[in-house]
Amino acid sequence: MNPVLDWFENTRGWQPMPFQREAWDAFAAGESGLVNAPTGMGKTHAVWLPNLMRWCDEHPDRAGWTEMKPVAGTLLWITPLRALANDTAATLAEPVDELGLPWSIELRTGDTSSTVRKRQRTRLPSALVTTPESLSLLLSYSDARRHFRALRCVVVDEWHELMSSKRGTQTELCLARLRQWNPSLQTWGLSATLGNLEQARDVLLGSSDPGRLIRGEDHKQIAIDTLEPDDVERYPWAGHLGIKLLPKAIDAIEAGNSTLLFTNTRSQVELWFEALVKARPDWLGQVALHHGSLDRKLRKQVEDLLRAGKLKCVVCTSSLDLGVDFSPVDRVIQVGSPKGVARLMQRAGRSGHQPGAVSRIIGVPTHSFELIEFAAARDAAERRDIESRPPLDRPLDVLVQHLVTVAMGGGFEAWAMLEEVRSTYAFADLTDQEWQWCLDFITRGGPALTAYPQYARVVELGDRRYGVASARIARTHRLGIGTITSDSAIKVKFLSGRTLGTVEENFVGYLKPGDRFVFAGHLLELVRVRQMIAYVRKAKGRKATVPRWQGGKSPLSTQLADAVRQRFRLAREGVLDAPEMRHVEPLLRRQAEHSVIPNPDELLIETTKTREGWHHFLYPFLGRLVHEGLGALIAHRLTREQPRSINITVNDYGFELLCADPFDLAPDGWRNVLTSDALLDDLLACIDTTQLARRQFREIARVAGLILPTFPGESRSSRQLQASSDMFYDVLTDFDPGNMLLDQARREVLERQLEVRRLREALDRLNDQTIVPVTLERLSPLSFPLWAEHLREQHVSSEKWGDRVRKMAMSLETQSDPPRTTKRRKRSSANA
Amino acid sequence: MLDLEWADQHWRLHPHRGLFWIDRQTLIVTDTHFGKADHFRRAGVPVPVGATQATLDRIGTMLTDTGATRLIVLGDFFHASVTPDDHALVTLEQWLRHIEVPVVVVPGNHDRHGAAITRQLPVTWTDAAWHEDGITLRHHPPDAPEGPTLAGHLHPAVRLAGQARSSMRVPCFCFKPMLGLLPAVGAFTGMHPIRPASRDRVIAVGDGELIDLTTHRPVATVAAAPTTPRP
Repeated sequence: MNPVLDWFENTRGWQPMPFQREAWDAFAAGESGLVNAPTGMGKTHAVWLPNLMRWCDEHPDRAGWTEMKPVAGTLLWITPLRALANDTAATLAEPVDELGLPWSIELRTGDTSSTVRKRQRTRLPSALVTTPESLSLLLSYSDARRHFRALRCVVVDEWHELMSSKRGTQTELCLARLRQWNPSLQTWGLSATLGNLEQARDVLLGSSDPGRLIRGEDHKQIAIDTLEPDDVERYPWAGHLGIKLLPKAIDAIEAGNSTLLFTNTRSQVELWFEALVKARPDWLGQVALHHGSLDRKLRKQVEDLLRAGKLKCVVCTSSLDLGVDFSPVDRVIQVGSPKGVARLMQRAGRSGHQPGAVSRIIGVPTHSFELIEFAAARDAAERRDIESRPPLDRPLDVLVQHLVTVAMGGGFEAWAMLEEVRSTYAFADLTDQEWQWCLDFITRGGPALTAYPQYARVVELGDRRYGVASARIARTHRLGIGTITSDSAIKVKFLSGRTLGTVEENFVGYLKPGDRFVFAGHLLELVRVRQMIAYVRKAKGRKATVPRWQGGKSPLSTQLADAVRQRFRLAREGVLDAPEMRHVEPLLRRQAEHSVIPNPDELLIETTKTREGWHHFLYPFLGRLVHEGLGALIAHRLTREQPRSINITVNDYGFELLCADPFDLAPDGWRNVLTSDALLDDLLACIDTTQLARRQFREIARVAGLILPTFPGESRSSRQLQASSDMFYDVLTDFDPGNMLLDQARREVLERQLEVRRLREALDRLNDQTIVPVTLERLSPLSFPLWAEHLREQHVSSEKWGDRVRKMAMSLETQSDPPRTTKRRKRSSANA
Repeated sequence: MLDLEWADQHWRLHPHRGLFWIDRQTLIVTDTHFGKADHFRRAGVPVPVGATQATLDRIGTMLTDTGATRLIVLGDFFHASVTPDDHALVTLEQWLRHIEVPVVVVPGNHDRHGAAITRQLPVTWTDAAWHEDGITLRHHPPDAPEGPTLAGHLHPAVRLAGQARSSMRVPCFCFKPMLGLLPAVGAFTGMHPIRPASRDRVIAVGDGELIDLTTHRPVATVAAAPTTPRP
């Protein structure tokens, strides 16, 4: 018997699951593939153990093992999170240590000390646990190929997390390089469930071979419960109800052993933590907070305490979505919209980590409609209707960065490199012209006619072979490797020196010394800002602001939005077969009275007039990103016909167009502005007039190496090389408009910000939908949150805003009580 | 163009980011940062050619429009040390030989090597401050000006709020009782939001247009205080 199998079955007493056996056999046959199984089912052993088994088969003389030097550079284990690396290495080490295998397992991440890194540069450990960025770095050394000559297998952990990001593309390119060096290299990915697993496998493997898709059976039970507010407001608006449910949430936390309380934004983490500690001062020290802008040391502390079972509750964001096994956690709470089915299931899975246990999650709605979202999420989770994650298509900024990396790591030959790049999924359709532009860009800035004098990052060494231009360029490039960009972040530091984390420059810009804000769970007072560091001290008192971070708002997923629409349909038919639905019944009744509850095959358009002007509310239920695009598109088309100013407000269900004059659009008129004809042209026209492309360019400029990384205490000469992405955007637009990175910015806006594919599908679907125009006597429950959101933009002080919205909601409620019996609405339908 | 009176003198603002001193027939600009793109390119950062010419074209247009008989630059004439074969220097030299007005430069923090670089060129360098008709011209805006002072260095900008949460930063002039700030004229230069006081006169420059924010100040023109080292 193979000693590793013996260890698994006899020492550990485990039975291999069918998917593990399948993976072991496929591995032994030299195949590659993707393994999908729920967390805690033993995915790691499915791909790690066969590596050891094969080695044992090749080295049957067990007595000789002790004298052997550890095998060098056999396996790479790529993980998306540095925080996961330690745990992974420990799991990998178990069979190795217990069997006395001559294998060494080490980490190499941004945290690895320079001594260890240096040692690894002379000799790699048998198995190296690393991140995509660190792998790129390894490939940038001129002797990279020699190090990886013995490489036999690469495992990519949590591939679903990487796949649809630039880090995923970076991984694809690195894998292509490694396969070029070792054609028999095996690639194995591990992934949670996705709607597009086959595609996920294809992206991972590129054109190397078809590969296997191995699925563990998903028996995981997921229970979704929702905390119900005592009374349901009939005019819901975002952002205030959550804290009202605090007492109920506290009861839930109290009943559990250790709870993870997830919120959707970092600001909400701060608010909930503050509220929790205030309500339960006795929990001080047992409650902690965790989000991506906190200092890494603080986060690590919290993670360690959580694992040791010393925390009653951690308030967190997606920063704790991933991997690390927090066995003591027996309860998960989700505050606010679940946003996606996969996300809610993943979070639920943070409890009941052991195989067979039920994963429970408690939903805390922050407004009444979110009750429906939780019911809908439960429906979709039961059907296992999970979101897909689309891979990226030809991000040239990542390619440009990778080409410089490869030029440093031994150089490349143009034709062979093109073939290698095209072997990846992301660049399979790279055109000759795009390829030539990338080569030109790194060698002379642009095509011959627009070549930049004195500029070169990569030089042609002859024979179409390319290498890095200078040691100085190489040094700078290494510092900038990676695709994770943060907005210009300001470090928050106590005067005494302890770092708390980072906030955005914009936020600090609005503060004066002496102003107070809540961050990292402390009430702080700004003392001064120097060189990108905000010095603070602890403050006393009550009133304080909470920082906001960009990019916190993800849209409602297609799957969840569809499930919500189905719930609306059922409600219209009078079916309220979920506790949440029974609870929001008064709200739905109000919607039916003043307007209609829209069916999935209808587009409801509500119109009303206030002293602010004419409001048109449209409800496509496609998530806020698509609504932003759709709103801009319609506004663009309407203003093209006749100059007027239109204000757009969006949420996940629909959007509002506010205009001083009415636009008299019969259903046919709406159909004209909602056509998918000339969609791209019209969208591009809106994009050029807005700031969207400019914002998207930030990341591209950083990845493509336009913006050099900054470091504290840097010299004057490097400061003189700082320019903002805005400046690059302007200078390129003015003087090199053919620069393909500008195209990419527009493309990314279309694909990632406006989700153009979803938008086009939606417009096409509208052809089959009936347009239902309703004139409102007063705001309906569906339109109210949009109206309130719009009002928020007009008011700088949120407190005043809250007061005004509350007053409005109250007046609407009293006016509409008791319910009217006669419906005063004009209803007509078109396109029957 | 927009005329205003400040410190008992007459001024004309030009949308190309220059200030024409009517009484002295002098055009004043600041922060040209010549050679900045070259400096970037030498370090391997791809910046296209064209910024130098665009900056010079701007200044040329303003000289023609105002009929100025003299040009004063309030420092940061050069971005970093410039070498003789730099694209910027070649372009600049041609331009300087072609214009017919004297050029005076008040040195800025980037101009340590300025005088040496322009030894062969028709450019006069002054001391750190230049006094004329009761007005002080300098690069660095002083904390407490002793008399009316015009300065550059800050690259002042304000944020204009637009529709649907859109906002944009635009360069601006800002006149305080004792201090006038000019926007950077260089085409490849950044901006830094300033925080004007309520009685300051702020005029934004956007798209070839001057927008006097003193007369119709939109909500939230006041933006962040500078927090990063200046370019």
